[in-house]
Amino acid sequence: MKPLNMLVAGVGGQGILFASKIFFDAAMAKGLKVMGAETHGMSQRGGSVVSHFKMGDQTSSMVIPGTADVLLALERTEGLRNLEFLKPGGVYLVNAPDLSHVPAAVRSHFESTGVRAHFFDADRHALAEGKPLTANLYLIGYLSALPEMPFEFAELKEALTRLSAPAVVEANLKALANGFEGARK
Amino acid sequence: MTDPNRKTMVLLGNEAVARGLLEAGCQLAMSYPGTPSSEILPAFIRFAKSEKIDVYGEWSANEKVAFEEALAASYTGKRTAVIMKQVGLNVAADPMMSSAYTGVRGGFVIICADDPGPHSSQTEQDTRMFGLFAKIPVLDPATPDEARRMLPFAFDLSERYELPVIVRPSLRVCHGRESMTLDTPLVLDRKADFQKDPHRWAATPHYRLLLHKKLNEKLRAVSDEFESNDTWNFVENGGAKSNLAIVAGGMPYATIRDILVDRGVFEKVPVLKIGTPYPFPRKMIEGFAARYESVLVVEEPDQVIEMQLSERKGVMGRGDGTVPDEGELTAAVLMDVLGKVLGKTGVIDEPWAGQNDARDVVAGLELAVRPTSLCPGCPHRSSFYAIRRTFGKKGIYTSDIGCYTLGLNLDAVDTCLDMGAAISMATGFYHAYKRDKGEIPPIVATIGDSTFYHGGLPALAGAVYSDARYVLVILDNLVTAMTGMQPTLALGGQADGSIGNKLPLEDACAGLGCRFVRVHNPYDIEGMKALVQEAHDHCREPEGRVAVVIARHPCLLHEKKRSTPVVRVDVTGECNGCALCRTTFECTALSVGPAIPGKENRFRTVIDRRICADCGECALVCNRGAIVVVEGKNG
Repeated sequence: MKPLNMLVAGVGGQGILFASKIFFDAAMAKGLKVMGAETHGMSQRGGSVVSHFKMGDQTSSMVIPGTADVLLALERTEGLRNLEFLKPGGVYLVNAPDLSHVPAAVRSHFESTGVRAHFFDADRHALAEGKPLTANLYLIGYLSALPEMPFEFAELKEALTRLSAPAVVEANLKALANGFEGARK
Repeated sequence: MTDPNRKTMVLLGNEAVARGLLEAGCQLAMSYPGTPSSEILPAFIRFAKSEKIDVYGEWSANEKVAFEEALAASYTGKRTAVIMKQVGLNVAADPMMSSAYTGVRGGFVIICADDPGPHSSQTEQDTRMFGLFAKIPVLDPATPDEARRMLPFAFDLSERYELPVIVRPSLRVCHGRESMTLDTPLVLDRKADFQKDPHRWAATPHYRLLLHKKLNEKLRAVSDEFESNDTWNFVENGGAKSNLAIVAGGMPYATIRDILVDRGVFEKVPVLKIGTPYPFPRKMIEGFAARYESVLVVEEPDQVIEMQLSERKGVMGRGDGTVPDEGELTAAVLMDVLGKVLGKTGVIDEPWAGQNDARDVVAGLELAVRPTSLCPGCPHRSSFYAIRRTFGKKGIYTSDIGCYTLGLNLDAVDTCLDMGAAISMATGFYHAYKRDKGEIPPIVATIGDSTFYHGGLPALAGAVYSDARYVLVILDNLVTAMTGMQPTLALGGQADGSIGNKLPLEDACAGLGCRFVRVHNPYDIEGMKALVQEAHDHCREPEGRVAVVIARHPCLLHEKKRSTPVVRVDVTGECNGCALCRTTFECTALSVGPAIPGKENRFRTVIDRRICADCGECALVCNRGAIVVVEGKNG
């Protein structure tokens, strides 16, 4: 099992805490040591939110800049804001229809540091299903299809099943599966 | 080997503290909410319920009250705790200073969360320093699990020396998460048994001197004990041949350790981790430091370990400017510090390259910072709007600590100092202007419902007594919103979810001698304007007094069942891009739309449907009538 450092960045109300709970649960099911933290400003709603997730033998709950294997951006500006956490060769996955919003300076930074940038229009897919709040799950499904991730799709699916309220479990699992399929297309 | 009977769980730092309280046999805990400490008390009650352990947890009126209640309970022999954030300890400083002298009987632990940054506090003060000042031992956990494990030790120490003990988790420990293997809760069946001892519990100055002598003896004994404690103080890589060593405590220890490991130099640098910064285990720390040419001390938010060192030669830290003297020691900051120090002392040959590249790229993007703002639909916004539109620029607006400090975005907050100060400062402004015998400007104090009971009551008594004349608006959203929706005294909500005695705000104000006490729904902006004007007129009449307006409307984030109708608004072609709504009403759901043709720098207002709360208040604001109600009805 490889260690994993991951950041989930977005704005309040996007389900960032729930997203990181899925990874905590999946890691715990494997008996792994996990740490993490959620950071946000004074605003109750609409402010920047970042969730740190660390798996493996570490001491601090916060990801050290330059060491995140994965930066999951639920919102594009918040993704860019947290770029310093991503390690060279890390995975950047952003909730967007394409990468045209990524400024040139960032593209060349990606190239020079070997960052693998992915995009997935989770908002559009989630909205089309009438479940705009499941965009986070589309992106996690997408992530689980990437070879860099130490979790199998099935492991995340089990974690999501354990964490979902009965009324929404079906819609949640569908969103996760749709994201997974989206990555394989 | 882990015991299969012990559960492993991921806990938030504050939950870990709560779990530690149960594992230490804590029977009563009192608290006042404040970020980053607010989750501890609810978790204490929740965990106790699920383990079927009988405990008492209370949201107290303020930190001083919480401290005195918990201390008295300790006098009966029970194990008790008081929980607060660092500025709360300022409020509780009076009983704390005295309690070091009287001492305690049952274990008594002060849990006080620091906020380096500061992220949601008015100061970056260091509670460890308060420990030195008050002569109370301090324990400083570096991780959530260490915080949990420290609590049984803290209670045991407190009981053995009959001293209060401070446990100081900082923000990142409180809000960090960690998987941990839990210990069994300790169930103490201690009955309250207060043993009278007036020379101690009611000591006069003569006996206070004796108690002080005793306190000093206790501290020397605790310091001796800390010298040999290798659970909270320990050396890593003691055998490494190095010119440089690091002494670190709290969260910065955890951060430093991860950086050293990540950079592959962990084995090269001896590190002394300190979990007991006071009373200072001098021989151990100075003996360690003397073995190295240079010692880097890393701690936050102030220097406490560094300051207590008697030999400063070769010491790098806040004293010589190596470590920044303000702000949080984030991983980014500590990477800069370590990169320089390790280079200078020859631990690494070349400075760490590339660590700032991404930061520089992001800085070059000039990304917009998300403004901190009242939530869309927040009833406080309507109150502030009505106040500001009524009294304009010439009004003096004192405010307080809570969500509503953000009324400064509406130019309706001029001061914010500490809990309760809105009222006493309005009194001070009034008396200062009154001495000049000229026109006294309108003065409006705004304070939240919970803050009013916390620090506003004596201030209002003082205002009535000294005949200060101003408008006091109590922003009553029926909950302590900012810190995570704790109940307030007004509604009688208890920490365990039950409802106790209610203390209506209007009764309290009338009881304190206010004759003008009116309740109004701030969503009725025009009515609010008329009412605050009437209140102002009343307070400046010969027979007037400080006039109270209670602006009552539930916090929209808290309200489970909405009490107001959904009012959907839209912006018509009448919008001329004057931006009055965006600047004076300042709702984040009013966003900048397309440019107005032919008008330079003028942009239409558009409603951001993702965050709009459908309160309809902005329709009352546009003076061209360009924001219209398309569904529902205002008022």
